[in-house]
Amino acid sequence: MSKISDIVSQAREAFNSGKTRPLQFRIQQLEALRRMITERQPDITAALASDLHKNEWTAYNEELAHVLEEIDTTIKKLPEWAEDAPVEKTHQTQQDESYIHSEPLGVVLVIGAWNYPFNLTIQPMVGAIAAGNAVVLKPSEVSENTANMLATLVPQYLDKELYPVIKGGVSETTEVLTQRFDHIMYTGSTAVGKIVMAAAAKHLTPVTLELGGKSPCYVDKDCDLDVACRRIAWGKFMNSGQTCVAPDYILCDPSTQNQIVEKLKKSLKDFYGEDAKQSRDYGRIINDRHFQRIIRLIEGQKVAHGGTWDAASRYIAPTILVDVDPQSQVMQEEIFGPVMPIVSVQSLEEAIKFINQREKPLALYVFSNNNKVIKKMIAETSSGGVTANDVIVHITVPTLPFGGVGNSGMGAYHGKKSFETFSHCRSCLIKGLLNERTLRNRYPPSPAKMSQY
Amino acid sequence: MERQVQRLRQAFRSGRSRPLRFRMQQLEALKRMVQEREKDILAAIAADLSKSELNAYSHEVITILGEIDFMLANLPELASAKPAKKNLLTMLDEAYVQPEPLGVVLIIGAWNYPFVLIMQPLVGAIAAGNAVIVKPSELSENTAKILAKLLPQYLDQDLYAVVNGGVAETTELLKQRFDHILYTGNTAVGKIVMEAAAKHLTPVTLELGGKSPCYIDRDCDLDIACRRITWGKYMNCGQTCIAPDYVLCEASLQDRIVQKMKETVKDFYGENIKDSPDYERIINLRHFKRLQSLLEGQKIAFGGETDEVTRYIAPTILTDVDPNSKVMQEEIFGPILPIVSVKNVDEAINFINDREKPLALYIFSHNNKLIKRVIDETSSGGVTGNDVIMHFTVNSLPFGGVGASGMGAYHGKYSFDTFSHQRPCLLKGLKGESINKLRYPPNSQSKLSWAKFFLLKQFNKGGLVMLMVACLAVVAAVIVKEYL
Repeated sequence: MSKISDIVSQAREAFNSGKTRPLQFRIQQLEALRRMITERQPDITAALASDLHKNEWTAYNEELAHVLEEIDTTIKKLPEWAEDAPVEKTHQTQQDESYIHSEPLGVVLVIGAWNYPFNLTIQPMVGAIAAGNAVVLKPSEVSENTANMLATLVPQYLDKELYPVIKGGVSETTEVLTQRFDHIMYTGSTAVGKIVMAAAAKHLTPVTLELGGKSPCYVDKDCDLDVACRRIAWGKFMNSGQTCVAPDYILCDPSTQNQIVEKLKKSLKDFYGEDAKQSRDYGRIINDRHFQRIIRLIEGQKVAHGGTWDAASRYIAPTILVDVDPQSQVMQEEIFGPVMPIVSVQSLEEAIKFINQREKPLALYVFSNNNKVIKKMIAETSSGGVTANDVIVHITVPTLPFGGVGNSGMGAYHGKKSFETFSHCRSCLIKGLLNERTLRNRYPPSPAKMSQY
Repeated sequence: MERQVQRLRQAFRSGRSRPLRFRMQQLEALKRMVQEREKDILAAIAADLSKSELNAYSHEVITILGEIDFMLANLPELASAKPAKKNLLTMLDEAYVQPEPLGVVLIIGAWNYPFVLIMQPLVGAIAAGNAVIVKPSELSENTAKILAKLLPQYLDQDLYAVVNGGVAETTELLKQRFDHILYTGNTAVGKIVMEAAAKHLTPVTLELGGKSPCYIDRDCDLDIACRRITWGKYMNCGQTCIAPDYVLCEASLQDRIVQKMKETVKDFYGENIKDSPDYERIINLRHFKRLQSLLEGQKIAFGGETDEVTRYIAPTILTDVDPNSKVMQEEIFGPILPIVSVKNVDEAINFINDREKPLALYIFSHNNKLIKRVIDETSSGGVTGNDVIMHFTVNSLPFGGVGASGMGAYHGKYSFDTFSHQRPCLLKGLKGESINKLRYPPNSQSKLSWAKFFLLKQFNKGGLVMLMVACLAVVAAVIVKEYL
């Protein structure tokens, strides 16, 4: 097993060889990645099933479909994205060529997360490959089976030197972070995000950090509660709540609280049956540590639904808490589990104030028939992104960049934004060696200029 | 200092800087400041860098006026929501990216162009709706003082503040929490800034430096090339982050280059360079001594005179320079131009690639193909072909470094974007639930097939039928949305 520094050196040498510069090469690699997904879907699904109790359908819908779409879009658009982009000329540069030239950065590190372990490692990789970089993958060790699967499959389909997969835990990740990269993309927690950025600072490596936070979900009195609750239930309890853009908590008028609980319950029954534990589609908590963490959040709370669990299978029932005290633990950290607190607010203004008193979240959701309410909520808050009248789906639109702000992250990717993130946009001004007379004004001696003033 | 940042944050939270009207008023006030107090500003810059006021105007002030005018003219467009192209599933929805302010921005300036390197970022940060603290470099003392005096007289005092001081004050400032930090300066301090920013997860724009190479091809007009290089190199006494740091050329060109540059220096600065009002001085004794030491052991083709009292260093060219010597190990940032011989353009490219990515790269050649090749096979923040410096002045080109020369970029629209959060928004209606049914559990094989169709728009054998069905589905969704 090669040392980590050797692996990174090898990737850099392979990059320096110029192999990745032709678009043809990059497209071939992306096509190979695509084949990997379509040919080895059973292996990929099996790994996801072991890690997170996903099945063929959830694995496809939540992870593979989006990566395939990203690959297809990227292959189609790459020639356009990689072209030199002319810019507006000034009156001084009318005779000149002025354009932005996109070029690879070099060696990119992608650190994946465990909750969508396939998607969050491979989707960034697509953009990094397209931009012409070598890419070192470090999947999360917490989703062990997926990490093993990636370490086995990726070298079977992609160039081994340019796109190595490094496995391991905290010590391996720490060591990887001592190496020099040209960009680091990290998906995970705020705490580790700071560590990644500090390590990157030592080499002046730019970073893209996809972190988290508590994504609020404001449900207005004026809205179709049936539809709203169904959509919220879908987004919240998907992957057993372990989604960075899951609606973390609900803000609503106290008069709607009971209705919301009832309608959420109904949707949950439609989705997962009477006992979610029996449903093929309901996920499990990734490990014991998180399992214990989430259970503790339920302690002392008023449970309107669920609140049961099974430690052996790390199953936590879809749980709804009501009359939640904003000071309680469940409202202090990102839940990342199937527990939905409902916090009462008297008005839209109060909801906005509540949100603004807290760190900027990765996503913000607002449900209302009234477009003015939606626009006001957006105008007076900040967040990575927004979906109104639904949850999650803004991140599935390839033309919308996906990223956080403040504590929820920096930088963005998806689609063309990925290509830009993993490229250097180099400003180029090409003049001719003529027209020297027009430049005379800039040369000393300045008394010659005096006469013009 | 914490209180000051808090004050700005409160002012930002009040929402005062959100309306475009407010931001434009502040920019107009800034413009008035530059125009009304021009004399004071020019005098300060002139004092700091021993620069003539005329040059202070053309090097710094004129750029700021241009930038302010650009923002005033373009702010409504820059700040507007940009619609995003939609896919099949979101066809009936509103999808757009909304720029919004970040909050409180810190701008740390440099001493070599002390006015423009504070003001140009400031213009962008104000335009984007932020509160801003500027920290001018203490080395350019007079400009720091004049900024501290003038900015509060023209701008909203609760939203925009000037903090002056040295290392201790800057360190204290960097402990505070900001929503973006833009730093112009050197690589070493750039790392310190980024490390401090990491504690708060503050994004940074770092405008650093490096050794910007200047390759002169044998197939080029040497007269013109040398004149342009002389201008860009010795402007501000070489203290320009994108000055051509050193020349790479074939050995046979060396003597002619020296000769032509010597003549140009005479045209520019006269026989007695010390008397020319257009030739500046080194900022302080430390840098003066540093530059002096770079001359040691070198073959001086012309120049080399120094005078410690006035911190004068003559425009100097070194020939047959050893790539391992000190002058080739650090960014010169002074009026010394080493010429390093290379056999051909291949060797030049290798030479450049063996070193850190520079902030700028220059190539002089009649052969456009050669210029494109050098660009393709190297990397740098930016490039000017057949001239130096000028890519900095094109407002529609982002200005920034890569690798050790920096990260992020600004100028014009890129300033606005740098100091904004681009927030993606997807606004759906509460109708059209039928299409969503595909995504809800419990799963089924047919749901999986439909999902594959909608998400991948795969039109193959059954394509046409699928397409018709899809159209019907969309029509159905529209009907549901509009009429139910």
